[in-house]
Amino acid sequence: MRVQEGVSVLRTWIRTLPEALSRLWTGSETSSNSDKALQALPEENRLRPAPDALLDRIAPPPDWSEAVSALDTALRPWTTGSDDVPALVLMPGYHNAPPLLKLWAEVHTWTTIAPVPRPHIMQSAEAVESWFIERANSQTPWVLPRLERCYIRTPSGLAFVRRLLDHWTGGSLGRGIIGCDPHAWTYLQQVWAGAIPHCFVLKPFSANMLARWFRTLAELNRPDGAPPVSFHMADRDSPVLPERHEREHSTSTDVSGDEAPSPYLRMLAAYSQGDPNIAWLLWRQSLLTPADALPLNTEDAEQTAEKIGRAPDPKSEPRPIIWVPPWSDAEHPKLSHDATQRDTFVLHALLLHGGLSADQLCPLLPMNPYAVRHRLHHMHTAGIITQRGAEWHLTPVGYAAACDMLRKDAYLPDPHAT
Amino acid sequence: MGSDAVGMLRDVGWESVLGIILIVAAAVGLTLLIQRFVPRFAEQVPGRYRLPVLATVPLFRLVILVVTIGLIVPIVIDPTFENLVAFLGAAGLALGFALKDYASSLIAGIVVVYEAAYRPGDWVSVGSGYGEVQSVGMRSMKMITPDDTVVVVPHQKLWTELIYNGNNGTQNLQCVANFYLDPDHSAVHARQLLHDVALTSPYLQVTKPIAVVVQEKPWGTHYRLKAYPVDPRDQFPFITDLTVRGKDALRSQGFQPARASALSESAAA
Repeated sequence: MRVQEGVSVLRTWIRTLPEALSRLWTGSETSSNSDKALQALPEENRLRPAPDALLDRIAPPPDWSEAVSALDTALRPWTTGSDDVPALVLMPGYHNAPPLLKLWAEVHTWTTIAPVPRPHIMQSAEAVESWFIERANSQTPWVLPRLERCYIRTPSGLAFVRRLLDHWTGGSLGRGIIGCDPHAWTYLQQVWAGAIPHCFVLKPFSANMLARWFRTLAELNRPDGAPPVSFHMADRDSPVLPERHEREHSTSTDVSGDEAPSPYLRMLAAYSQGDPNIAWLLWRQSLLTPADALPLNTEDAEQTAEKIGRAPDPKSEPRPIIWVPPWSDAEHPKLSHDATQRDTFVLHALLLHGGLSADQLCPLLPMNPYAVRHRLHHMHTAGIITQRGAEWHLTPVGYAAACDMLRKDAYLPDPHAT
Repeated sequence: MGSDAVGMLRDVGWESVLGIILIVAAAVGLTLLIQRFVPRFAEQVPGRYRLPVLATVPLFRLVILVVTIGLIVPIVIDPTFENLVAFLGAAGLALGFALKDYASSLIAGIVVVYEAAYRPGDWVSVGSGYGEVQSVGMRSMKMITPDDTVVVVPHQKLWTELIYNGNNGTQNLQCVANFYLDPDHSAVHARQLLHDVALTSPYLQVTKPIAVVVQEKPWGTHYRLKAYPVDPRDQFPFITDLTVRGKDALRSQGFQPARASALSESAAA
């Protein structure tokens, strides 16, 4: 037992030493070798974020129809069955998250329903009662995309969601599918003692899957005859995505035949928790080109390489290069190192509820309202949250940053372990 | 440098003295460095790793002490079997008479490290004192009470007193909030309400169980709401949060607090 404890402590030191040391030495500005190399370049050759027109070509907004088809395939054994056993689909609930469940409902002409508005959940028993009567009388199948918007974390704000889940699993609401954020569901499993027999979770994207997907996106809008784009690390000139000819020789289902993914993609997959939308946004934000880069259909690799001081590979065919900074140098919205427990509480509440207004948030937290609003504006400035109407929501990259922080501080148990 | 006429002690020249001074200085410096650096390091790592990192401090101190003694003794005495037995016997006799309590605390300190009776970051109760263990030294441990008072507790308390460890090196420290209600109420409703009060606290560690213990007393009903905060250092804000929101929730549902005057009136009658 003592040996096991010693091994556990040793592992803790190995795991936490790099990050803690970096925090201790935050005050001293030390440039990485990549920064020094890039800063040594003339101004006109330094890398800049790629323009939107270029990004729309090499990293276009994804079409989620295939994801809806995959969801349909997973749900088909349940939807074609005769029983009304409820089904739950777990999907992250950040601002502008892909509405897969809603799109699936449109395809199958199921009704997308909204819960009782939050102000009525605690204050209007009539609104709650009429909502349940309406649902019980309706015979059409339905979809409720965001269960985390059906409660407020107060003693009196849990009654509606408990009653909803009881009626749903009891069959009195008819056939329905409910969607929920995985972290909110972990909390709701403590609130409601029941069980859902059919629970679907979107498979997280691994680094290899992200590499294949980004490559596919980059070639989606490639004009005929134009060379394929290469993506290289800005510090080491190593490829980030597998080249097209190597990808063609590996089968899509043969994971062992894939190249080892680059460290950048491994970090991206871990930080985004495998969420493809978050990974795509971070990927798109990271892409860099030289300041005076020509349009892709006229640029060649030699010109690009010469501009940033690197020799081109004489064996490769000329192709445009897009540069990707090392993960540690990439600019992501993140909380400052002096983030306090107040920030933790605000982020945790916004995560569990899928967004809240300041008036709804203040009673949930042991802070005065001025402190709450101050933290909200601070996080808004940092890009962690955004405001839609009166409500504050986590942005996609803010969702990743918030989950990372909350997990480290032990506020988020693993949703897939419960 | 050979054995002298006694046969145990070496000729200790200036080089040896300098070596001993350097070894002691290095040991003291390393100990101070660890005592200063490791707690700062523990504050920088994610919260869930703080306690395991703090727990390594007394371990490092013990290793440094053993290595230091192991380096100094061969310089002073010729480390043959007979010499070591004679030296340790004489040292033990001196310690036994003159430094009995100090030696007892030193030995207890080694046992504390081995048995992990308490570690930095643990919340312990020893005698009348309760607080967070700040450091575990050779002879004593320092703990800080909730009123920010430093209490020095000799390790030898381990032999004679009960050591109550609230979290035992983990993040799990159960907190209890007490409520006293007038006996004329629905206990089922009150119990569920207090359970939800804990469930909705932002400090709550949701994966740990919540319990409401109900006891009927002559003056009313005593509710003990038991739950775990995410961080043991938040135990008092957590209990405050439970108490404040619990009182608010109970009052809003029409529950009346217990009244001491009711008992005195009935006793007088």
